[in-house]
Formats: sequence, structure tokens, C-alpha cells
Amino acid sequence: MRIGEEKLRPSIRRGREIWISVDGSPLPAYEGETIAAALLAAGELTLRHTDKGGQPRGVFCGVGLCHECRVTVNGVPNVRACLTPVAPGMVVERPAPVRRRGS
Amino acid sequence: MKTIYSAEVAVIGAGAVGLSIAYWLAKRGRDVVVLDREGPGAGSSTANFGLVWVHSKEPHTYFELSLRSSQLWPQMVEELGEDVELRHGQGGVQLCLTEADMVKAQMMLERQRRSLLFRGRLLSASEVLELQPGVSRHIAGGTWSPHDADVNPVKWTFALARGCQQRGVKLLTRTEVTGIELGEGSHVTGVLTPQGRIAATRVVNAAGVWAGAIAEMVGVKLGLAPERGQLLVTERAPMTCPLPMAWHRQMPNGQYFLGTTFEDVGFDFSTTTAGAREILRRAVAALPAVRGLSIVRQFAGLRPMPKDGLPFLGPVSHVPGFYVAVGHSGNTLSPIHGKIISDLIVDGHTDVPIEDYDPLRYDPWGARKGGEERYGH
Amino acid sequence: MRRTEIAVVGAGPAGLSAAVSAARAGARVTLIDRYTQPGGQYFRQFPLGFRAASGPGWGDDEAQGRKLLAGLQMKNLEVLCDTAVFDAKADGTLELATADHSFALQAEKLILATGASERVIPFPGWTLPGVFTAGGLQNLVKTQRILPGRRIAVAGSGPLLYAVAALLIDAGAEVVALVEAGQPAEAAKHWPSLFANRTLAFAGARYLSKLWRTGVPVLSRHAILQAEGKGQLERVAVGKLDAEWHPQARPPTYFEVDALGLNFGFLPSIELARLLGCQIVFRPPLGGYTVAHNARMETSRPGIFVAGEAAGIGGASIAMLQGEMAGLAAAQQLEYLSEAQAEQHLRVLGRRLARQERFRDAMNAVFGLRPGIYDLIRDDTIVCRCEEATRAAIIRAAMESTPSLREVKCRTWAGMGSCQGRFCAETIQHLTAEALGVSVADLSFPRVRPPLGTVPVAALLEERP
Repeated sequence: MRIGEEKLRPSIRRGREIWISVDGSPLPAYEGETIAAALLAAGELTLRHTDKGGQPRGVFCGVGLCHECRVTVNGVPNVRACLTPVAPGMVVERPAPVRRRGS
Repeated sequence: MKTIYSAEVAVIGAGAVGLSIAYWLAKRGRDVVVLDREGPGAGSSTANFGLVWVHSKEPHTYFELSLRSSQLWPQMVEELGEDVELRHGQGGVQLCLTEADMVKAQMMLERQRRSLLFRGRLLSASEVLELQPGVSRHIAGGTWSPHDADVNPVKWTFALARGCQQRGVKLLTRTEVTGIELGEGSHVTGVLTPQGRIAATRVVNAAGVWAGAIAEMVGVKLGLAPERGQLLVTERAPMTCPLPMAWHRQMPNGQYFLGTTFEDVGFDFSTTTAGAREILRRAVAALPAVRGLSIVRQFAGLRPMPKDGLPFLGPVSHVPGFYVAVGHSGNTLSPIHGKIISDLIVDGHTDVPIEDYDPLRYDPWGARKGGEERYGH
Repeated sequence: MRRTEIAVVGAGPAGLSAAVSAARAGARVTLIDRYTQPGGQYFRQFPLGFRAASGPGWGDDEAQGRKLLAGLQMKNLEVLCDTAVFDAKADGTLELATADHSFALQAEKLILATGASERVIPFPGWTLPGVFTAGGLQNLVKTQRILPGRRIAVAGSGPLLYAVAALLIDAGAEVVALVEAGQPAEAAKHWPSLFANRTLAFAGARYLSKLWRTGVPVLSRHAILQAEGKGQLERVAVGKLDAEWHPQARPPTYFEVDALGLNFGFLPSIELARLLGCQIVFRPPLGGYTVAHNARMETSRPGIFVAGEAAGIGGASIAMLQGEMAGLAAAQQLEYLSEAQAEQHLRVLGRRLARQERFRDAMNAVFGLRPGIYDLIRDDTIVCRCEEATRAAIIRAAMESTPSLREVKCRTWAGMGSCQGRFCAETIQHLTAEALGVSVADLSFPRVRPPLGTVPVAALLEERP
């Protein structure tokens, strides 16, 4: 959830409200937020699944070092959601879990 | 010097070639020790592109050697029982960017067809794209051969190491060879290291880029120089190129492996940004999707490059018991080097033609210099 | 080839101080940072697009932070943000990349202020969505103004946990527990040293007081044994530790949570220093591998300086002092200061630094990592998140290898993934050393390879010298 603008000091004003699409569905966001923030605010914790074990993963370090928060943005894969600000009309996709090959 | 170990065969170099040789010898019941100054896969074995490449190899005997080696891969991998990411059977593709390339490719295929086993063919641009949707549309066509394959060379090398150890091969790591001990008639009697002497009546020089220094210990100048090849690895991407190609391949997990350079810089393992740019210019021309990716790893390997590009493979006639197995495309040839050297040691001969690969071909008189008992430096 | 007199890598407290002090002395300075705005983690600014009613909310250090950022306006100070150093050559040339172009930078002097990353210790379930680093959680709450859950716990060890817990309370979250492996009551033993940094000591007291008044359970000598949930975090099992941080054999206590912040201190970011061939010294109380330096913050490579967490974890006050010292020392080598002037400034700064180091050492005595914590890791626990390598695989590989991290990496792929070992290398080293019965310092460390971080292909292809 988003924290009320007055709740923490200093109080802030978010950027203007925009719309992005996540897996085909519209999601509201605020200019200035990262994709990670917008997704977490909407309760979307799982961003991808691992290659070998198909384990769910999401934002972890929040500063672009762990590479866990990779999503596809406007067709470009491996974009780190925690580093990337939202933009109007941005198309965000989370690759569907892939079945493990063989072993 | 104290004798710390005794074996029938001492293999110098725990790379893919040395370990393959040890593996084949162990399967034939021989008592083998492998020596390395560091550990398994410390040299080119873990810094190469991972191709098992056949169809563009020349001259013809070398092509046939590569083809035969390719045939040995599936069996060896199955025996080792580990997933080394071998993709064998679906073949490999070489791109032709221009019509002139297509003409040259056609002529190459004609040459290769002297081998009745060869099943490669010329592909039109649309045929290439059907096999490799990720390739640029601006190509003229390509060649495909079912004999080409690819593998994860790191996993391969360590699978060999494990396979060796399971079959009783002794691996002496952090053990540098400082000399080769020769006895009567210049016959090999042992290997000298700072930790002590290893007694052995057969010694195999599989020291890769450093094989020249080992050969000098028995007075032989191989004619070998390091040639640096830089490589890049990208992040994972959707799979659009399932077949390996000569310069690029997309690994099973989606990462692209991009090559390469050919640099004469001596024993320098460092990478350069200029090298990366050269590799990437070629890569995006062939694979447009690469432009949207990021590089996650950059490294360089040194190819042990003989002067004529052909391996040094076989006995050194004037040093009985001493064998050499070194050369470029060590990855592709690692299975057959294992077979050839084990044939030579166990049977005294091999059915694989190795006349072109005499270790003495650049130094025919070398080993004769000096005569009797000689200890290395 | 672009040139500058002094290149400072990293615009956190140390880098800002170094850049500003060197520029003030008159040198031409280029300050480089991979993030969009300078300030690093400590002086993190609000996103472009947000407006703040007053300052950025840096608490006691706000005035100092604003002063440093204002210093960036100097004409002889060039700031390159959204720019990462991905490689460095033997002669000290830096290779830089933005999102869309790349170039080389040659500096006469280099100051490495590359900071630190958070230390996390694996435990079963730590990879579940909903588990964050405590600093990552702090960032989300403070800067992005997001709560990723309602019932939140913080766990690990160290002062950061208290700051994050207090922040979460202010943000309206229910802080379910603060799970601390150390024993903060022990801090009382070091009380003289704590007064070396009154500001921090009082901040700590304020946080503790807020937690107590709000009724947040502060569980000292405890750790999270396991995180559980169907597809994402739903609960944690918390257990008691002994004095060496080994989990005790007692039934755990369960807490229902939907978000968790983890932090066991910080790890110096020394990759660039390694690439440059600077000597690295292993100092566990200061976070492990640190960049060696002399009293003037110069590393083993002449003309290359280090400041801040990369020289040893010590916090923002030490970082800013060291940054100022490095900036002055580098400027002096370029003769912007006389030796006498430099000596005088450095002596004063050095005395202040020594006081801060006493506070730092007291903190480390209380919160410094104790090896029992690695017992949290079970055989099937993922250690390398990126490549999904488990403890069992790493131990098996270690037993088959010469004492070499290179071999363990080759056999398991642990440490070879996207994070380039940031979140697993220390654990891999520890497990390998333990399996082989050697100390971590005895293990041969694998070479650091470029790129540092990832570099876009498009940037490499577009060279703008």
C-alpha cells in the first residue's frame, strides 16, 4: 500500500497519477515511483520464477544489485523494476513460469 | 629427490584434454596420475567457447579428426553421467552474410564431402531462419552440419575430473612439473616437482598453452604460441537460437555466448573494451536481439596455437614413453585425444591417422640434442 | 580519451566529501555514480517527480548532507550520474557506461568510494517474495513511500534494524518483532566509546524508546530460523541463539508476517579496488575484505585512494571524514595544497576519525557477526540465489576441490550469476573454508572479472570518447 503523503516527515507530494499495464491489465501508478514500488503497492510481490526450480522471486535488495526484480518492459527483458521509474503507457510483463526441462 | 608417488602414466595438465586421456587410460585398466600446478580446468578448458565444431575445419585430415571426435561425445557424456549441457545431434550452423560467402561455403562443403560420413549442406536464408529464428534477416544463407554440437566446457571439464577420480585416477593438484626425468636410452622414468618425484614410465604432455615449456624439458621445441580469444556472456533472453553457430551460441538457459578475438599478446589473460566492441559489432549484425541485452561476464582464454594450426599429437620418437597431446580446438578434440593417446600407450598404435600431427615437425633434431640422461631445469 | 585530475567513484557520503574537498582545494574533479541522483544510500534523495515539503529527511545529518550536495555546484566539479564504472585498466583508466553510451576516463588520481552492500545470511525460505533486505525495505518506505506489507518484521543484527523498525512504526506498519542476533544490552559495557558519537548514540536510544513505547517485541539473541508461505512470505519461525549465535535446540516461536527486512551488517564493495590491483586486507570486524590504505587513505597503488565503507565498515561519519582526507591527500599530490597545509588538515581530521573509530569498534563488538549464524543454513537451503546452488552442493564441491573458490564456483555455478556474488560470495567462502577445515583467509580468492555490474550492449557499441 502507498503511505499517506502526510504520514512520514517530510510530507511529500507524489507525481501525477498515470496508468501502466502489467501482464495486460491496467495498474495505476504515480510519476516518480519505480515499477517495483507500483507493483508492491498493489500487493504484487512475485515478479518471476527461477530457471531450475521454478521458485517465485520478487524485489529483494531494492537497489539494483541482486537482479531478482527483473521484468520485461516495453518488450525489453531483464529490466530491474527497482531502478526503473514508471512512465505513462509503460507495458510491464512478468514472464510466465516455465516448466523445468528434464531434471 | 624423494619419490612421492608412482604410477604407470603421468599426465601433465588437468584440463579437458589431460583428463580425457587419463579417463580413457583408466577405463583400460591403467594406473594414472594427473598433475596440475593448480587444479582441474585452470587453463583454456574453462575459458573457451564450448563448441564441438566440425564442418568448417580444414585441412581434410583435421576435418576428419574433428568429425570422429564429435562421434565420441554422446557416449562419453553418457558414461560420465552428468548434465554437461551437451546439445548433440541437432547440428550447428555457420552463417553466410554475403553471396560471396555462399560461394566459398559451397566449395568448402564439396571438400568436406570427400568424407562419406559428412552430411552437411548449404542452406538458403529462409532455411536458416527457420532453424534459427533469432538470426538477422540480412543474411545470404548458411551451412548446416549435424556433426556440430556444443557443450558447457566448464561442466565438461569437471565431469571428466569426477569421472577420472571415480575410476581411480589420482589427481595431484598444486603440483608444478619442473622437470622430466629420463633414464637409459632417453626413456622417460619420472616427473619432477617441488614436492618430490613421481615415478612413471609414460608421460603425457597435455599442458595446453604451457605445453611448450614442458616439451623443452625433454629438449623439444614444439612450435606453439598462445592466441588470445575474448568472450562475452549476456544475461538470459528468450530462446530464439537453439543451434550453436561458429561465433555465437545461445546457451540452454537463454544466455548468449559471444565470440571472439584472435590476438597475439603472449600470456595475457586480460580483456579489453576494444575487444568487447569488436565482438559485439559482429554479434548484433548476426543476432539483432543482442542489442537489447546486457553483458554480465567478460573473459579471455588462450588458445594453444601450433604454427600450422594442427595439433601436436603422438609420441616423441627420440624420447620413448613421452607423448604430446596439445593443440587448438582442445574442447572438440578432447574425446579423441583421450582415445588416441590411450591407444598408443596401451596398444602401441592407433587406428586414427595422426601422421600430420608429429610433435617433432618443427624441431626434428631437437630431441636428439644432448644425448644421455637429462634432467629438466 | 576523456581526462580529469581527480576521479571519485561513488557519490555517497565518502565520495561527496572527497569530491567537494578536492574541488575546494582547486583540483578538477569528476564524480561518478551509477544511480540517478548523488547521495548514495545514506543521503538518498526523493525520486524526480516527487516533491517534498521540507528537506530530504536525513535526520541529524541533514545539514551536512545538504552542504555536500550544494558543494557539487562548483565549476571545477563535474558530476556524472547514471554512469557506472564497469572496468578499469592496469594504468588506472576507468571504463564507464551509461544506458546508451560508453567512454574511457583517465584521471591523475583516483578515489574509490564504492561503499558497501548489505550482508544477508541464508536460511530456509529466505528467497520468498516478501523477504527484502532491511536497507531495501527502508528505501521503499522512506523514498518511494510504499509499505509492501502490513505485518512486518526486521531481523539480523546491527543498528540499521532499529532505524528501520522505527521508520516502519512511523509509516503505520505493525512491526511484529525486531529479531536481533546480538545483545544490545552489551552495548552498555562499551558506554565510554558510545559517547564518541553522541548523535548516533542518542538516535539509537530514541529508536529503542519508540519500539518499547509501541510494544514491539525486541528479541535479542534470536534469529529467524525459517520463512514460510505459499508462493510468498506468510510467517516466520524465530529461535533463540547462544552467545556464539548457534541456534539452540528449542521449539521456535511463529509470527505471522507478510514482509521481512533482513540485514546482518554490511560488506565492503571492493570489486573495483581488486580490478585495479589494490591490496586487500581481511579484517572481519570491519566487514571482511577491505581495501588496505595508509593514514592518508592511499591504497597500495600510488595515486589511488579509498574512503568510506570500502575501506572498512564504519558508518557515515567515518566515511565523510575519510572522504575529506582522501580528497585533500589527492589534491596535495597534485600540488593544490602544500605538504604543510595537507599535514595540518589531515592531523585534525585524523583525530576526529580516531574518536569515531572507537564508537565503530564498540558497535562491532556488540553486533559483529559470529560464526554460529551459519548453522541456520540447511543442506537444501539455497545459498546462491541467482543460480540456485544449495549448501549441500557447495559443500560437496568443496570436498572435491583443492582449497580454491574458483573450483567451487566451476563445479556449482555458485557466485556466477547476475549479482556477481554480492549476496552469496561471503557465505560460499565460509562454507568452503569450513568444509576444508581452513580459514577463509587461506582460500585463494578468484579473480574479479569485468564487467562490474552489467553493461548494456547498446552502450558498449556507442563509444563517445
